[in-house]
Amino acid sequence: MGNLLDAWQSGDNDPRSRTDRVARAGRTVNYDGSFNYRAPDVGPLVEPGIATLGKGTPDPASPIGVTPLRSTRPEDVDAYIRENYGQMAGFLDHPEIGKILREAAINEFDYGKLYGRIVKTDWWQSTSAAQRTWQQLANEDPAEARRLVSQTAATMNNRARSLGLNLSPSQIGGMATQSTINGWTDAQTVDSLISQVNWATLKAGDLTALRDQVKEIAGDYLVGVSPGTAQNYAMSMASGEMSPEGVRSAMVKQAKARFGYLSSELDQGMTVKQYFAPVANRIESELELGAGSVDMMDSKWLSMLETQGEDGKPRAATLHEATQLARKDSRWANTQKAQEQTTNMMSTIGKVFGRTAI
Amino acid sequence: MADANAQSQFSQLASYLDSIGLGQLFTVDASGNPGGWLWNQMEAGVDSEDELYFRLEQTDVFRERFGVIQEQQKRAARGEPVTVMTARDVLAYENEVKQMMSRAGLPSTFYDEPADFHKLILSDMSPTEVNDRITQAYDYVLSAPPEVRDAFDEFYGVGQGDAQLASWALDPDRTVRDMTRATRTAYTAGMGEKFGIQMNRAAAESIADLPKTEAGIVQGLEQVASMSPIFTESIGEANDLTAGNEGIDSVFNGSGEANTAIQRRLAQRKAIDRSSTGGALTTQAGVLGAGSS
Repeated sequence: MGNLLDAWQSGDNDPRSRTDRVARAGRTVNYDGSFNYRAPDVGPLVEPGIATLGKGTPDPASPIGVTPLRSTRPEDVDAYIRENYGQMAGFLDHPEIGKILREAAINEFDYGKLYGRIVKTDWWQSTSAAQRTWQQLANEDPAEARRLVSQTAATMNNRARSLGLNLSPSQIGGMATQSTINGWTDAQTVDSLISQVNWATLKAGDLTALRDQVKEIAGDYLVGVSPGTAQNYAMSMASGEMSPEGVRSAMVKQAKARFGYLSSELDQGMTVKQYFAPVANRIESELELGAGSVDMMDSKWLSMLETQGEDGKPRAATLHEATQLARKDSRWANTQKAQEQTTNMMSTIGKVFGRTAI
Repeated sequence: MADANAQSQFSQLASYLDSIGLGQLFTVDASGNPGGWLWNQMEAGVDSEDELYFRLEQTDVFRERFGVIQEQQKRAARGEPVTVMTARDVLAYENEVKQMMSRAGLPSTFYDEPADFHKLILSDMSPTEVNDRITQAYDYVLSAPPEVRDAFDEFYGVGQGDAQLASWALDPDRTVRDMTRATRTAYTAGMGEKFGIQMNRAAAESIADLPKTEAGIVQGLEQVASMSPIFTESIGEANDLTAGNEGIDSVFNGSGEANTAIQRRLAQRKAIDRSSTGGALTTQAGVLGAGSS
């Protein structure tokens, strides 16, 4: 019973492979922990001769059925199946499986034959193990199926909120049903949720945090990322396709392409931002700004990143160059330093032109 | 926009530089934001006098404003004995001379452009010399009696305008000595005119060249004037003696010839007087004829 069920629940459509899996007795399809759905042991698909439904260990050599079929009339056959294999009764109306079940009951198919017939059906070929399990569950225990969907919906709703998504109950319900039917993994569930993301209406949550993290990493390497790029990276991180280190690696690569002269430092783990921290500090000092208030990505400071050396090759700006550039900023005129400089200049001009005071 | 304190400083600096013709070096826009070459120097951290001056000299604005310094440098490079002034020296010169000219009432066109002063500087005209020219030529002629001014115009063709007179006084091709001689000449001729003594430029110059004060010249002219009867020929006096010739020669130059001519005339008149009436008049200057026909 369990062997066939395993095959039933397996996503693998290769019978031999499936047989191998069946050999791992007692294994059932596990839904991801987020959904906490362990497919129920719904018993044999059709077990005449394999095992007595719910009455013992299956015997692959046994003929199907334990109670004699009264007649081959359709109603007797169906009754026979319902009586002995109630869990499979739901498939009686299935155009392909129902026909095979009846044929198996009448002809006393053994496990191998029944299995061989079923796996050849279009239904088997086009239906995943999870879907087959779901259909079986829905047939035999609709209430449990609804409970599982509800449980999945609750979990998905929490996950959606965590991501910052504000989905309607119907959206959550639809996805929960699909998740339960198809046995989505957590990653698949997140992918599904992410497909619903509208960044314009997204609330603060994991995705915005990841997006900000991407920006922060990009900022560490002074790599400009568009909002769209940051969002894409964030979604990839949320779905597990990419880790923060992966993003960092991508940024390092871009930084190396841009700041070739920093390759060695980048290889040693230094960020571009760290490398240019003294320059930023000097600018902040000259403009009498608070620490961390100068963004080297600001277009007005970009020249500090790629100053052309005397040899024609790009290099980092010197602190002297940073000072001079900072003083080109219109804010410098209002600094205490500028006023002192102006006072000194007035005195110097006075000396140059022979005037004691201006 | 710069704050109030900064704006005030910027305005003062801009105003000063503008006043010395270097306004382009430092500008303040309508919002009070500074700009221009000098602001760039501040941004560059230039604050020492030497460095600033070195950089300043490289600017077109400075070169144009203080072209006189460039010219002096060129002359010095050619080995000419010239002192290269600093901008401070030039400004001091300009201020001093400008005040002199203004006080003397020279037309403002003579001191409203730096170039006005630079011509004087390049002519090695010190402020003292400019002062001499103004007081000894311009002022002198301007305040002289009309007769003197007329004589000055006649002899030197300067014209009656103050501007022409100032130009003449400040003409570097003319030395102070030349001008002093000219004004004494004009003075002599003009004062002679007042005493009714006609003299040409050469006669006036000969008197002006004498080591006499103006008072001495006037005194001499008075003597010549007092001899005027001698120079009025009576019937029968064939020689034409004049105050401007024999009178001047006699009094100022001690000319024997002139004295002889005068003595002869006096003697003739004395002889005539004896045969009629009257007698000779003896004055400090000698024997003067008092009679007339």
